[in-house]
Parts: sequence; structure tokens; C-alpha cells
Amino acid sequence: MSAAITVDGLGVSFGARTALEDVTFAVPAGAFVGVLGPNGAGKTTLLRALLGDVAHSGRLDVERPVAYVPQLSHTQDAFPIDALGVVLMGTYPRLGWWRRPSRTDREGARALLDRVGLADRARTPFDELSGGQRQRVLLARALAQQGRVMLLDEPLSGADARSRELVLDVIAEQCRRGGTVLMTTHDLAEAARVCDRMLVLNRALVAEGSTEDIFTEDVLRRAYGGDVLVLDGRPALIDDPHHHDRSPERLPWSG
Amino acid sequence: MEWLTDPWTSEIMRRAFAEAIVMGAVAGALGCFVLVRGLGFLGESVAHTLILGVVIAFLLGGPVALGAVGAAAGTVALSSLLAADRRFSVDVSMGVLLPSCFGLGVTLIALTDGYRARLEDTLFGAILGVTDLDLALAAAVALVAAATLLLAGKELALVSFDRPMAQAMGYRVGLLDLLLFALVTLAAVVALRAVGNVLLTAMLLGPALSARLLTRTWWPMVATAAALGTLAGVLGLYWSWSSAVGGGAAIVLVVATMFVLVAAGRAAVAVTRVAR
Repeated sequence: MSAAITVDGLGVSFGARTALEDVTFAVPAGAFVGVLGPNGAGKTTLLRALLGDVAHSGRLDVERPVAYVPQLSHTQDAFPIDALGVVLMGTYPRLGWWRRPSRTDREGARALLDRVGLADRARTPFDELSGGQRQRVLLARALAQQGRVMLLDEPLSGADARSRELVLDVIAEQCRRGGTVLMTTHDLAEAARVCDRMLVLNRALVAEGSTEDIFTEDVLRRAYGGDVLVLDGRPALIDDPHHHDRSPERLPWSG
Repeated sequence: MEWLTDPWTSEIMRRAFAEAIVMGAVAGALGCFVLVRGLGFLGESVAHTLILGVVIAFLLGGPVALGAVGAAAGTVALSSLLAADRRFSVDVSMGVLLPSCFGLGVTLIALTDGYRARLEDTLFGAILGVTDLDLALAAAVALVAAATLLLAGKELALVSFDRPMAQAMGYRVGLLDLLLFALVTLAAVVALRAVGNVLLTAMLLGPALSARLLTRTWWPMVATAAALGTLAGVLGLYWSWSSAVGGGAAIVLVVATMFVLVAAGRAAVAVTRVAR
């Protein structure tokens, strides 16, 4: 299968701080890849580099267009917009400067809201939706971008169970259709359950491969340092205090 | 009905109405961007830096409106130059420019005997003294603003709602920001003539704030703010005509009254809902 993403010797620095260095990997088309690593490991920076959003060294080859689901915290709550309006924003790059979304675009956007389980919320103001619902609206917006490659930044954090399942369903469908998905996450258990492949980062690429290759004590220790416990011969990640509020599920292999 | 038609018999008032209608619409619409982007400080800063341009134009014997436009262009250019350095935000760069330009302007006023009489006009507006040039400027700014919103309105909205996403989609967000600042600054130039330096921020933010409470989506908010700004301009002038209140102050007081009424109305609706 041909590679949808090829990264060769990628390096990103912000001033004197090195965010990523010498990262090399390739992702085949149709794969669902989990991007793991501790806080500050460069997960979001990797996505931004793939978007062409930050200055970098090395070679990047990404199948375009690229759709993107950013972390929730970036949207302006003061901005009055409903769910349908947010999804329609995904069509803007295709429309060009002066054209407005057409009736077909609107129908398409409604269908995408239906796909993420929010058909009845099209006219609900974005700031009145729950965290999980907002995340699904942003996912629908990314689908409206019709990208061959989709990048998702922590789409499962703060999401309720129904939102998580819906997000993962949509991703699986996207991959079945030949789309390629990269998702950053703190949730090792979820990633192990749903992703085909993993990338483990800690400013550099610690490991890359299938779930079995990645979930070894050695790899996790190199990425997460002393935060890894070995229980009954299985590695487990000790909860990161910064993410207590995000996900209750932490010890994936302790049973 | 005489009170309704009376003011329109005066040439001065007809000009003032034209200025107030255009200024109200432009400041109202662009004020929405100022409000949702949290750029209130930008409006305030622009207002203060304009003083310098106005004083220099007076010293050189040129039209005051052009001085304001020159100062506006300089402000936008300098602030975006400063903001290009990642260590400075737009607010910070404006914070540097504001006292510098305002201080220099006030110093020049102090050194210029003939100007003091007109200082009040600059601070509180002189809508009854608008010239053909002022009207032409207001019309030009309105046209530029309308054309920009038609051409890049949805992109400016996207940047205002979700800046990182706009950047990720490949838009040059720095340029879009610059475009927005330039438009806001032009709106400030027009409003400066009508309501003056001190009341300008109220004209940018007041109608937008009321419109935010009345609407649930973006373009209806922009249209409502433009309509409220225009209405405030017209009602303010009627009030000014029939009383001793200055035009600029009357317009801004109408803007404030509108906001109080809208907020009270919303609160009343909320209380009624809870009571049920």
C-alpha cells in the first residue's frame, strides 16, 4: 500500500527550544495511527508540522487535502455561531474567497452532523453544546474539509462515552474508505484498543509500529520515564496528574 | 410631525444625518469583530493615536480627516511591525504606541496656540461641522468595508472564531488580522469625526454588544449591530436638535440606553422563564 504520509528527518524548534528532532516514519494509506507521548512530547507540534503550519527542517510528504480537528480550547466563546455554521467552515478552503456555502453545502453539512449524532442540534449555539458534542461538531467540520488525511488533536479528552464511540466510529469509517487518520491521545488503553499503529514521541521518535511492538516496558519507559509501572509482568502508565479530570481510565493492563 | 421633518430642513443637519447613518453602520458592523476578538483596547488605542495625526494636519494647514487617515495607516503599520515579533502581542505593541502618540499629540497642542479651541471637537466630535471631505471619507470607508466583508467576510469570521483552525486550513492569518485592524482603524477615523476621541470606543462596542444579546449567529449579529448603530446615530441627532446636548454625546447616550434596554429585556425574559 502506498504511503499517505512520509516524514524524513523532521525537526521543529521554537527559538532555542527543540520541540521535535530527527523524526522519521511513514504511514500507509487507510491506517489509523495513535500518536502517544507525555506532555510536551511534541504531539501537537507534529500535527502542526504535517499541516504545514510551523517552520521545520527535514522532508514532509503528506497527501492533501489535510483535514484537522484541533483541541477544543482554541475556539472563541464570544463568537455567536451554531453547530451548522461551524461545520460549514470546513467548506471554506474549497469555496475560495467570495463564494458562500451553497444549498448543497448546507445539506452536506447537515448530513455530517447526522453522522456524528447531532442532527437535532444544527441550530444550537456552539457555546451551549457539551464538551463532547462540540468535539463531534469539530469532527464534522473536519469531514466537511474532505481531506484524504485527517489529523485529530486529543479528540477523546473530555468527551463522554457516547461521544468517544461516535468519534471512533467515524474514524473507522474514514479509514475503511481509504482515508488516513492520525490521532494524538493520552489514553493508552483506548489507543491500544482502536488504533492499527502507534507513534510514540518524546521530542524524538521513541518507537513506531503495531500495538504489540509498542506496548513493551522498554518503549514506555523511554517515553514516559519513571511513570511506568510493571504489574504482573505487564507495563502500565501511572496516571498523569495533569489529566485527572480528563480520563478515568488509566491502568489498561492491570487485570 | 414637525419635530420629525424639522431637522432635515437644515443643510448642516442633513450632512450630520448622512455622517451619522454611515458612521453608525460601519462602526456597528466592524465593532462586532472588535467585540468577539476582544480587541476593545485596539479601538481605544487607535482613538488616541489619531489625535497626533489630527494635530499634525492642523499644523500643516491640511484637512484634519486626512491627518487622521495618515495616523491610522501609521498606527496599523507600526503595530503590525511590532506584532510581527513573536514576543509582542498586538495589545502590547498598541500599549507602546498609544501613550507615545497621545503624548506627542498633546504636547503639540500645548505648543500651538490656535489649536486649543478645536481640541474639544477632537475629543467629543463635531458632527454638525462635517465637511464634504468628511462625508466622502465616510462613504469611501463604508464602501471599502462592505467590499471587504463581501470578499473575505467568511474568512475574517473564521479567523475570529478559530484562529488556529484558519491557520491550519492554509489561510494567512497575519494578513487577515492586518486587514481587520486596518478596517477597524478606518471605522475609528470616521467615528472620530462624529463622536470624537473619548466616545469612539462606545460607538464601536455598544451596538455590537446589544446585537450579541439579540442574535445567535454571526451575520445576523453584524447586520443588527449596523442597524442599531445607524438608529443610534439618527435618534441621537434628533435628541441633539431638540436639546442642548452635543451630537456626539447624544448618539453615544442612545447607544448606551439601547444596551440597557436590551439587557433589561433579556433579563426580564429569563426571569419570566424561570418563574414558569
